[in-house]
Amino acid sequence: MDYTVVTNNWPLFAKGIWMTIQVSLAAIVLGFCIAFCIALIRTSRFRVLRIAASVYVEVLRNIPFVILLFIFFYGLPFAGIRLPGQVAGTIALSMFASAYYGEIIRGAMAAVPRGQVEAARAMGFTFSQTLRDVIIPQMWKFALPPMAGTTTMTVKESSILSTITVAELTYQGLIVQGMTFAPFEVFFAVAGLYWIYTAFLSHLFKRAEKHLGSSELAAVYRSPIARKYLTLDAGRRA
Amino acid sequence: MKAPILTIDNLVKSYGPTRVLNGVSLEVRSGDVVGIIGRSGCGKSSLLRCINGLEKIDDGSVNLRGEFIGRVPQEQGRWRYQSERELTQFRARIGFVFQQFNLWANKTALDNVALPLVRVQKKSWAEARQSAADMLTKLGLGTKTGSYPSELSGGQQQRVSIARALVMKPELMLLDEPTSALDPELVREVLAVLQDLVADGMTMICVTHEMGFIRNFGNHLIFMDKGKIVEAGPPKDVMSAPKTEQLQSLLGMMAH
Repeated sequence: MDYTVVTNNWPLFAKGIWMTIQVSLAAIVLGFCIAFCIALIRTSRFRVLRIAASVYVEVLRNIPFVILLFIFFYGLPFAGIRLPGQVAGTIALSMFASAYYGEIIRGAMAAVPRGQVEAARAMGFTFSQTLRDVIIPQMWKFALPPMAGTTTMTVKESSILSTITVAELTYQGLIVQGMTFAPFEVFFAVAGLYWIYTAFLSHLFKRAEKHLGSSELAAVYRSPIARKYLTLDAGRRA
Repeated sequence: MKAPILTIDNLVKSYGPTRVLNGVSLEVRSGDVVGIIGRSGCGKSSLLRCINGLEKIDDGSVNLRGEFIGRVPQEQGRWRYQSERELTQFRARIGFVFQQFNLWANKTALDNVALPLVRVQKKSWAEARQSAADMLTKLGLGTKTGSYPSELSGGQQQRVSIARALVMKPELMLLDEPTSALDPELVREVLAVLQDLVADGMTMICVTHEMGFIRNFGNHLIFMDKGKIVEAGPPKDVMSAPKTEQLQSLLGMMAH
């Protein structure tokens, strides 16, 4: 193994991971926002909207991401819309992520006990108040664990943007490989950088999970039955 | 005789092909305590849920102090359904207590009671929390304000949920089997709270199997069967002299 292949070309790797971080974070944030709207539309009173939202989710979940990307990058210019690779790639990746996040959010909202939603209605809350006070605060404990997986997937799929000349990590790796003919060194380095990035994101999700479930978890730990059986653990926590 | 505050006229409600309410009419006056009994599936819970617009009415009407809830008559015998947003103002005036308490698990007892004041009555948090604390203290939960629902017993949770309804100063309380999910020794603490409400002159419609409570504190008892009111009258009369076989068998089952 020749480490100099990596150390000599570090600016390209750095540029690559920075571009990967930019497009994937944009896709994660944008995708989540679209997904949230999709999840709300899927609970709408209007049948047509509900069907449109489920078609969106089903189609995106059942086609390969690379095809979606090609439609945006190669197809849209024929419709008179010419997007730079980075923009087309970010939009396609956002839509792809939104289909998966959308299902997760819908499920998480449905998992919040119905009675609590009904109680809010019975008190005279509007739907948006119910959403804000009852549904959203309680959906995270159902949504975050599967969202961590989808987020990792989104980062990994961003490597496909290299096929439409977005200069992200995989693309830069191919460049360095072409210059050095050292595929092992180059792609181990690329793999390592992806791994560090996704591991960091997973860690953030674990932190968020702990934080957003905390009031309830604390209540569980303080309950009499927990005090009886979890004394050892509680001692360590204190 | 006082004018009724709630008038239900020929109410009909179906879930798909199943008709759960088949022409129910009822008048409730201020200070009335109405008990509703009947077998499960007779429509008693649906009746309560139609009164505050949680369920859409198919025919007939519900009228609270001259205002129609859910379904409003228009010209030429046509009816208009109210939107969820229109219904919120009526729900804010009607207290609802569920069998399963349905407290918000992510809020403390205090905030469960204070939140509706903030959101629906647009009070400040400070003012709402003060009223909530006073109400919880009144119901004997002064030391539990900081507890989450999961830390409370069933009886305490139900008292918090009654406080949550009462703090809104409702014109009418609907109670859907408020003691049915409780262990026998916890039923008493909830009934004690309800008795205080009766003493305060609160108008209540209560679906319950607590015959003793209705006999001693109710002034009207309704027996429902297959979506209809079969027997009605002063609780003592209805209980001591059931006219129908269905009520006789139900009372017989509850006695044993």
